[in-house]
Amino acid sequence: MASLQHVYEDYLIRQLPPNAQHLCEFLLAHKSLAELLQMRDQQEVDMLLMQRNNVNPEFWSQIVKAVTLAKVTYFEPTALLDQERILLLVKLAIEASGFRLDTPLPQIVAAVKADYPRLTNWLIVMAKLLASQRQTAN
Amino acid sequence: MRNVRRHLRLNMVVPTVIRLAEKGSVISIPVEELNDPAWRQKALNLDNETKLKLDRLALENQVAAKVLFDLMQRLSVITQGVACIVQGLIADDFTVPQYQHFRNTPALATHLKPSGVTSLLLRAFNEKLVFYFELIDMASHQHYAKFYELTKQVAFDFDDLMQKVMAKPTGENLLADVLLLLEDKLKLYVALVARFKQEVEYLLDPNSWPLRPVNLSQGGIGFTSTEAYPKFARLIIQLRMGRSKFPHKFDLTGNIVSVRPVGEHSYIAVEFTNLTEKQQTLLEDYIQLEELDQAIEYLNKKNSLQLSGDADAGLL
Repeated sequence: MASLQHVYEDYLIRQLPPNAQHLCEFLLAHKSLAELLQMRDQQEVDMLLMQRNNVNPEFWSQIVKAVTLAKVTYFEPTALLDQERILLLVKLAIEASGFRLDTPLPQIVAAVKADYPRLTNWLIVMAKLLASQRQTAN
Repeated sequence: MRNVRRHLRLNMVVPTVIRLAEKGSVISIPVEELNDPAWRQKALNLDNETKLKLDRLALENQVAAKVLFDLMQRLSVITQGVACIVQGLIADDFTVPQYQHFRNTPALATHLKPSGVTSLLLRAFNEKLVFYFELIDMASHQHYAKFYELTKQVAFDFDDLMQKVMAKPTGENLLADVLLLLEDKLKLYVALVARFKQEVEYLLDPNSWPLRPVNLSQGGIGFTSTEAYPKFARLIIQLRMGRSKFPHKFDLTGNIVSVRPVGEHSYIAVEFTNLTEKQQTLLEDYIQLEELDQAIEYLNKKNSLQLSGDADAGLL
């Protein structure tokens, strides 16, 4: 049942205190990507969640960023993904891992290789998928 | 890097049809009215009132009373027939006493000469009943397409005639009163037929599937319902997913694993039982696609991220 076993990039999550990690797991399981992006853009700390999980509010933006990266890399490459969607995922992953969008991909891959194994593989696979789709489209 | 063995769930609004599955391909709907004492009492009260008025009418017009009594018996058989078909009781399970007798024997009303308002009314009401006999026949033989075609008939001569009679202030009219009572009882069951018809339409035409908010994962589905599904019932769930490029229809079955009250409604959680590994993967792909579409929709609204243009120049 390989399809039930997803891996995701949890490097940023692991940098957080245990309670915040627990909250990240909760958000990953219960919030959609759109909801996470909304949380990112609103920049309003969900005090209820933070208090309930006994997490310092100053971690909020790190938590959202870490969960966004985990969520984005949770997506598997499939034939249903078109260029627009692949590009969106790649951009979101790059943003969440702290790079500028105009950074060349090989440079990003080289930089994250050691700490972000899932992200590294994921970026390579997604880039290949995007390249093949662009080739097909041309 | 770590593994998770749970399925991420996603709230979405997709064309969805959910129905009881215990009858296989037979259409059935949850009919809580039939177990509702108040609803049953209402039907019983209509019967009792009809009988009282019929007794009085018999003293004035024995022939009319006899014809009406025959129509009342037919209506009784029809209501039992409707109760059967909406619950998916067909073929050997369709056991309504005297159904075939009344179905195959012309009503007394047909012997009346078609002259005068009274005979026209009685004949017209009988024609309406014949229409419902035909509907029941179609449904009980699973001829759903023919059933659906029949239901497109929306006008009955009886309704026009009755309207005209009621418009005339003639004091007490026992015959019209009895017909109105019979009509009221028929209406109780016609409401069930209307819901059943909707299910038939869903079966025949996937474009008619209603948009429904669901919480979906590759393992199951959750939804809010006003209908009282039996505990642990097996359901057929049909979903159409993929907004634009790759629409796909999923025919799923699942068991209800929990029912939780939400206000006046129930939140029903269903675990899929018929998915192969390949189908599970496909369903997950579509859920993933839906999640991305939701994100794109949000970003388009916010205009916070350009999806094309110079920003991706460095990616490849």
